[in-house]
Amino acid sequence: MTALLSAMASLFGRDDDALSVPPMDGVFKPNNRLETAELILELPAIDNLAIAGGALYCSSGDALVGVDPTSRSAKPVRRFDGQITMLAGSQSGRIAVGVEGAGLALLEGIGEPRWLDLPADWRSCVTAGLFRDEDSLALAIGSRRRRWSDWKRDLMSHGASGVVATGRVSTGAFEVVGDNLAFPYGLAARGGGELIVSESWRHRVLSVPADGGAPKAVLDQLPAYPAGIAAASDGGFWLALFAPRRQLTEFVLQEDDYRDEMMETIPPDAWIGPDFADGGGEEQPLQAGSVRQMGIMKPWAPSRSYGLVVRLDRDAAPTASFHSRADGRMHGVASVIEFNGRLYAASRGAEALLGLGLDPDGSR
Amino acid sequence: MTDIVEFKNATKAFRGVPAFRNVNFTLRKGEVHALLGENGAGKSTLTKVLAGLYPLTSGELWVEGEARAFASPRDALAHGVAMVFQDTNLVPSMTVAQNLFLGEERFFNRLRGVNIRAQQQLQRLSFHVEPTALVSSLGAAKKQMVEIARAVQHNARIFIFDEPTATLTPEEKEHFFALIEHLRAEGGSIIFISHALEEALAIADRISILRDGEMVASDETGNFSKDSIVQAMVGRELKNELYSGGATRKARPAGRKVLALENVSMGKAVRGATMSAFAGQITGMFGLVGAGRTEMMKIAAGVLKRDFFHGGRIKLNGKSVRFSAPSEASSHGVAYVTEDRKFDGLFDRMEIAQNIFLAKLAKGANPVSVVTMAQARREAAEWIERFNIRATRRKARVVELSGGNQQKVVIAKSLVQAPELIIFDEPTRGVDVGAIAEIHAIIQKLADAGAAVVVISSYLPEILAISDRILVARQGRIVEEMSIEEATEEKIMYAAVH
Repeated sequence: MTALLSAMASLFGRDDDALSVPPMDGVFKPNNRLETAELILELPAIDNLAIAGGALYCSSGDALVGVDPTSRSAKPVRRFDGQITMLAGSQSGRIAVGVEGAGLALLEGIGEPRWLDLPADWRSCVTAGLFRDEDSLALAIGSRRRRWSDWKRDLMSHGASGVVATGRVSTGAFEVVGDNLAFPYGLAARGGGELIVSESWRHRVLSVPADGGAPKAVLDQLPAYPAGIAAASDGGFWLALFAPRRQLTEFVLQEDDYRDEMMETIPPDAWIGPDFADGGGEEQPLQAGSVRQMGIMKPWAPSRSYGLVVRLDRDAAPTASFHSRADGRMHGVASVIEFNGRLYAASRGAEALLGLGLDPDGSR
Repeated sequence: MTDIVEFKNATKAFRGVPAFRNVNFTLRKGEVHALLGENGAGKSTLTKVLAGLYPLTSGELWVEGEARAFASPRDALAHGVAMVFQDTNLVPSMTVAQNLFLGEERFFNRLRGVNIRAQQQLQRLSFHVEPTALVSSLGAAKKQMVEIARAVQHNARIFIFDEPTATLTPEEKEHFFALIEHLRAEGGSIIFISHALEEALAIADRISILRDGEMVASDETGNFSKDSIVQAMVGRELKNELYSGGATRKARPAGRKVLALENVSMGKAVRGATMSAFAGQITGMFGLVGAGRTEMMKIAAGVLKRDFFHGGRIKLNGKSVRFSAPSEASSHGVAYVTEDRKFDGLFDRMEIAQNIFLAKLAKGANPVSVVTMAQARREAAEWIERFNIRATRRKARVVELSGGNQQKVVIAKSLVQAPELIIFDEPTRGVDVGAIAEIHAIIQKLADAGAAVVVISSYLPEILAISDRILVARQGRIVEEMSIEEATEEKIMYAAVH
């Protein structure tokens, strides 16, 4: 009977399943911890936090920037000819830089970068990297069909051309260990050579065996789009989720004709879908779902952007969360990192670097 | 004040087993007298003798200065004694108005006239109940209101209220207490049976306590404290205070998500409800009557069906499910312990073993296997011992058990199915303090063993005492989630009404 009912609902194209999103409750219960976190510094288009040689780096548009959280200062290191989409650092100080349209550059010391010979369809959307030792590098390619800056089109086209690969920077040879992924956006290492990968468009976190075995979901049904992952000092992980899932977006994602027309006729900034920040323009009436009364934004408004960082344990089970709600500003956190006993989060929406304690309430 | 009712050395026995013995009890004119005791202590039986349901085995009953032996409730009512029963005795297929005037119909009965009179009566009591509504469509609280209105309708002088507030919301309780005051002011005498000790201490002039069929204490209310009442009721000190504050203990950490309701809707009762329940945790659900909490959980347990279109999504261990019957839910590891054990929870004419074993069969048994009654009894015996179910004999029928022991049978019926998600709906309603402690311990053990537990309760101290996290329902939705550390009665109630 159950199967019959589900089949009938699906036949009518109105199965209720598509129009609901997982609840933000339990560990995901909203709070204002990101909103009240310490503001370290403000930097345009800040993203991609990485540690190399014991120093903290981030990207700011096309610039690689060194950050000193103690003095709250940032110093440009190098500019590239395109948007930086990924940073990965090694213990000795090597930095791998993903540049949109150009591929992967390797910075060693103060000299010119060495460009690795990645396949042509990998060069425009390197979303994450992880040095496992000085030579071994794991990469996530969000999409082989679209550039990083065209991520909204990839989502709206149900893109699933992402790749996870491992290889050596000395030879530039990479081997695919996970294929046909729906925008892999974050990478972290787990014991036994496994990689933990966030698959953004499918709202889940995967465990990918190093030998290329089948990926396995270790955390799914997330209430937001997962982005960067970083190792936590206690053996767990920090997961950044850059935008919330909303019923309206889920609805749009199942209406093919509507999406096609939207993509053809409307600029991407005005599409119905997730985003890193509140555009603030009048052309975006659905930002915050119009839930604004007497000039006050309701915290529970179904906004397109949101700020969310989740602490995961060793088994990738969520144990704590840090939020900036619809009425907040610290939205679009796509990159987090633990550095010198503190957690740092880059909010693209507020263009700010935030510092938090490591306790579940962000206090220490 | 003069005594309007007096039991002198009264004894009532069933098949030689005394329900109460040598009881001396007086009710004064114009007083509220609280009658307290554990389930099975004999309170209901004592008052049922007064209401004409049973005759005394020995001793005397004096009402308004005359020795009486009422032949029937009608006889008792004719002498001014009305009883509002613990389990409502309304006719579900009739309207509220018809129930109010049942037995008083005139030869030419005009329905419109009956409805108008019922409306006036209900308005006088500030009960918001539609007289033309079918009783079967009413929730427990509104049924209770109709019961009370029916007693008042009969112009009784002596009112017996058996657990009248168990199903009422705090607001409705206030109305009820005002009604008690009103009855007292008009010269009515009231016997008030309750398990909520605070209520007894707040509204009663005198308190009498029965234990194992004997009157162990009877005095002015001012001479009792909550602790002394509990000690007199159970004859022992409870190991831990029943409803110790939640803020003093640490919540269990959440395990994996076992149940998720996403935007679930069902008619007007549930409107876009979203919530989760986690393994190894007790999720408390609070809400006023009509908030939709029971309906939400009944949908999760397959008792009710969500809307076919746009009814939302229910996930069990991450997989979407759509149960069309409770048996499907139980085969997926979901158990629902009903709030209405008499109607939904038990085959009350069957014995304990049959009830427990039937639940096991409901989960799915080998159709070609043969089960003997001896096997069923052996299995049931384990649960009877584990839950300390007290019965007068091994083959006792469930109807012969006290409320607390009946509730333990209902819980055993659910647990015999080895569920991983257990939903308790008002698990301690109409249950005495001793059994409450035992039932709470059972619930805590289930969570400690890793099961996901949801407890729906209208009693805030209970929610605070046993929950690890608290959800508040209002108007068919979950409107608030609180950790046990931050929750207070005021905060929960605020969320429930605003």
